[in-house]
Amino acid sequence: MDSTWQILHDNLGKALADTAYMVVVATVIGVVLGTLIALLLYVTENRLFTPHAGVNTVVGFIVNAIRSLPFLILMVVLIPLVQLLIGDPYTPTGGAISLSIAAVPFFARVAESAFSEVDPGLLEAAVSTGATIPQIIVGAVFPQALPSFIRGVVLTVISLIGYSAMVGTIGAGGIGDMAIQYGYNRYETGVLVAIVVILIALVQVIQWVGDWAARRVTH
Amino acid sequence: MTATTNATATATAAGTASGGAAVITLDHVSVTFHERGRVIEAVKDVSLAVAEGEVYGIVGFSGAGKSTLVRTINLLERPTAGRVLIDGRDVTALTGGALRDLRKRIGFIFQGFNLIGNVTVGENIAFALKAGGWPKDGRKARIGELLRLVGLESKEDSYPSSLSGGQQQRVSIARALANKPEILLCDEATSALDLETTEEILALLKRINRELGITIVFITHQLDVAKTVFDHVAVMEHGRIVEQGATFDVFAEPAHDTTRALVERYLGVAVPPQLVPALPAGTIVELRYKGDDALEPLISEVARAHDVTIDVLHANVEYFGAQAIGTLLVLVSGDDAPRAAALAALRARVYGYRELDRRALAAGARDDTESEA
Repeated sequence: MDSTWQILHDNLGKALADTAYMVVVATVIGVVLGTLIALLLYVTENRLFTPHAGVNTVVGFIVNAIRSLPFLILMVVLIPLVQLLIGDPYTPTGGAISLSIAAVPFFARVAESAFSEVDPGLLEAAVSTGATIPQIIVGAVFPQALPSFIRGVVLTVISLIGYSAMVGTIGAGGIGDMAIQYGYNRYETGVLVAIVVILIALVQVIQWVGDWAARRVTH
Repeated sequence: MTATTNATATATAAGTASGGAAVITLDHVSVTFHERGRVIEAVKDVSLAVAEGEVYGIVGFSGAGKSTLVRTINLLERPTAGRVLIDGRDVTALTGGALRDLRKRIGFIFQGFNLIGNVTVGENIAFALKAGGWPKDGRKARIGELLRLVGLESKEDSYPSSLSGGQQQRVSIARALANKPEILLCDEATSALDLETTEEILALLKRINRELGITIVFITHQLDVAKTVFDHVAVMEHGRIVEQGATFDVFAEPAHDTTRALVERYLGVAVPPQLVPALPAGTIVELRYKGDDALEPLISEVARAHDVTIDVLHANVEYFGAQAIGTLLVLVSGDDAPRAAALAALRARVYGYRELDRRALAAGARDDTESEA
């Protein structure tokens, strides 16, 4: 029991910080780039904007190709690339890079579906005012898609927390790494239980905050 | 006295039914969709001209292509053939900034209001003002002005979901008028509203038409709307305009089957089927008359002159602007010879005369065959 507390005391803070670092970096990159790709898919798909079957198909194919790899495999495939970029892939930054590459197409689809839910009638009305595409996206599409968009961010964060445990297994750090090293390799069941409880609590809180925020922007 | 298809609008923007300069001219416009290998001709070779300051209506059963047609005017739907002229200028091929500038001159309101639900009424109008390039400090005052115009001064900070349907349509009218358009397109703008609210919205549109001089094109399947506000009307079926002219003329003397079916449905009077067997022997006739011809004296005069009995079973008068169309269902009974003479006398005095079949009436069916789109 003493050793459990000792392990948690010595490692949990750093492990949580590493996980937070990886998840936050990947979420920010995923949301920013994913949204841009989603917008590209959205405006090239919709006949009221700038329909372009070629661009839409190519971008859609790339997004699907990355998404069709299970994260575990994507992570392994990316090791040489990460090595090239930062030298050592077995670090939180290395983990953050693979997570970001997974997060971008994931969030692109999530955001695209949030945009696609916007009532086509509303788009006709917006187009009829003579607004430019950026004005329509910012002023009409985004406010309407915001609740779904926020729920999509929550979904992405929670998935990334799960993925971050996988980058932990190859030694990139974080609470996944800690759970494997102590809970699995050293049979420290107490550490494993503690991490499970922390993960459950974390996911619950994130979900709750996200739902609350999504409700706030729905009228 | 109804103009036939294509007669009013030729290749130029010159003539309209009322003789004024055409603000909108559709010149042999067709719209064809390709959907999963099928070719759908939503609009077929439509030509029409809308005069400045008038309310031009397009009526027809659902699926007739009305919504597609009205969308060609601001190019939400691009014609696959033909030309769209606004103020005599061909706009069919406009794109980019020129197309956006055109759309700022054409307001559009919809059946479903289509407001941005997650922002306030004020922000909905501000959206259109930003599109129109209004500076930030000018917007606030303009929003107040527009909300006063539509009678919603106190609702600037409300969200659309907290408003009634009629109020939401008022907001969408305010949004459509934000950039001071010359034209307002209305696509079934009152079809989602109850009767009372419909009248309020129509009164508002009429006022806008009169006071701001905005030309209105209004699509509807509701003839109540047509007779209340339309100056000219076009009847559409299967993508074609089958009849057009002054509203009263078209409804008083429909030339095409579809128009007749629409008008019948609207003006038609009926006897409750279960009462038909109890009616005395005789001929049931539907009489239709125009204007202020009072039919009561005629009926008593004919009855007296020919020694028959004429019972009025049902009467209905509908006003189209200042002019009226009356429909009267009468039962003429008496001996064969005087009855035939009385019927001939009636026939000579009205513009619409139709003997109805008793059995069909008893069965609850109207004896006309309606062509449904």
